Amino acid sequence: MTLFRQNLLFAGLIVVALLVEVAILMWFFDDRAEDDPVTADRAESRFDQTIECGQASPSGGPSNVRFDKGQRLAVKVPPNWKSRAEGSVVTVNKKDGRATLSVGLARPGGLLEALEDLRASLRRSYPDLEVTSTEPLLLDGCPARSVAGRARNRHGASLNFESVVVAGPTDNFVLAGFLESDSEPRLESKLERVIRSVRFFLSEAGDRRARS
Amino acid sequence: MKRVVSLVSFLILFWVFSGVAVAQSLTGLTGPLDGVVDKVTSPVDKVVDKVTSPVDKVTSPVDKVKEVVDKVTKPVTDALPAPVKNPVDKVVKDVGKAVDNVVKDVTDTGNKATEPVKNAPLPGVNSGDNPSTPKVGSGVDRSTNRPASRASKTKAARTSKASGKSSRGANRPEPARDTEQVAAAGNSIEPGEVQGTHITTPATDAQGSGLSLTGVQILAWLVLAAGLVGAGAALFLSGRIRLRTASS
Repeated sequence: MTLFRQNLLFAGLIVVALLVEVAILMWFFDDRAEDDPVTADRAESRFDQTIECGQASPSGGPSNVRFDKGQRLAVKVPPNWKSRAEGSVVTVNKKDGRATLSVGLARPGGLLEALEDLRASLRRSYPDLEVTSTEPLLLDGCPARSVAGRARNRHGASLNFESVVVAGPTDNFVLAGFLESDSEPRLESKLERVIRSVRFFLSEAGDRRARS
Repeated sequence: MKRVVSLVSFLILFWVFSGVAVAQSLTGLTGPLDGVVDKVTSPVDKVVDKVTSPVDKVTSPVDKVKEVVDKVTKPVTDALPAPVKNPVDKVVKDVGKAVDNVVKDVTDTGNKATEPVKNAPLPGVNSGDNPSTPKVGSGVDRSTNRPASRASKTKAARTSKASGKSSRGANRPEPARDTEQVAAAGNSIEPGEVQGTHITTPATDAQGSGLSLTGVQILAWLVLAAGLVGAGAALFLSGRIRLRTASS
């Protein structure tokens, strides 16, 4: 075997070993890739006003989503989470019950009124509610305001939450995600991604109905 | 050929060790383990908190009282002449003993209170069966001394009122109901509870716990590494055999 061939074989072996290692790593850890939002550009761009609010129709979206009955909104259901739709409310839960997210209709009108309504509802449900941050954002291209903080639920569990009111294309929407305070950071970021994965749709006729 | 074999061996060893290291850093081998450890220790911490905090709450006022008593008695005893001082010292000692007894009783009571007898009636609150017990505030707050049947009726009435409220809620406009429902979703989360001495293990999802998942990954990694080492050895042996054949 000539020196050139030996070097060639050596280089080939290095390349093959690296490829095999990358393939195995991808195989082992591909669940991380599943966590990535499908349309990250829409969800994460907070103040890009050029993006239109909501989407025209639910067709062509990812398969693992749960719609409400009126198909006005959809939530991406992560692997090993379960979902249910009760009327206009869609709820997704982690199977071990450590995290939950619900989306529904919010009161019509301005975003601030809807936000105040949400805060009042939160205070009624959790007497020792502590709001740590309030910020504006864009969710699926729609203007939204989020409220985040801590609360203790009626079972005594200490929770972190993030609630958002959204001025959707046809209605106002409200969503709230809760998880136990001592949960893994990975679960927290996953819940955040689920919140960012919520999509809002136009009416069946495809028009942007005049918002009340 | 020797050079190639040694380089391949180095590559394989490097691949095996780096693989395990990357597996640790990527999955956060410590992450899932930490999660499991936290899940086990945090309920225990909660129990310890539950046990110590009531006792602390009760003993700290007693300690304060003790300090006040010391403050009052020390100047008096210091100022007293020697013949009077001894009886006074005895009295102070007795007072100290009495305070210590109170602290001990309170600590015992605190310990008993932290035992799983949450539903046991508190002394003096629900003592309607005992005629010797004075009915504290019977003319002011009747709710505490209400007979059980009446209390249950009131509870039933309250429940029916609540159900009335909820049925009224069902008729409210959809957005208001939705907002309430969405906001209350966090109440479905139940904490990792400690029941008596039995620690409820956290539920695991279909993927298995972090520990088992990481174990499976490492095992699979080692099996694959062993396979690769075997393949390398086979290549090496076959090369040697070919060389021998060629030389002969």
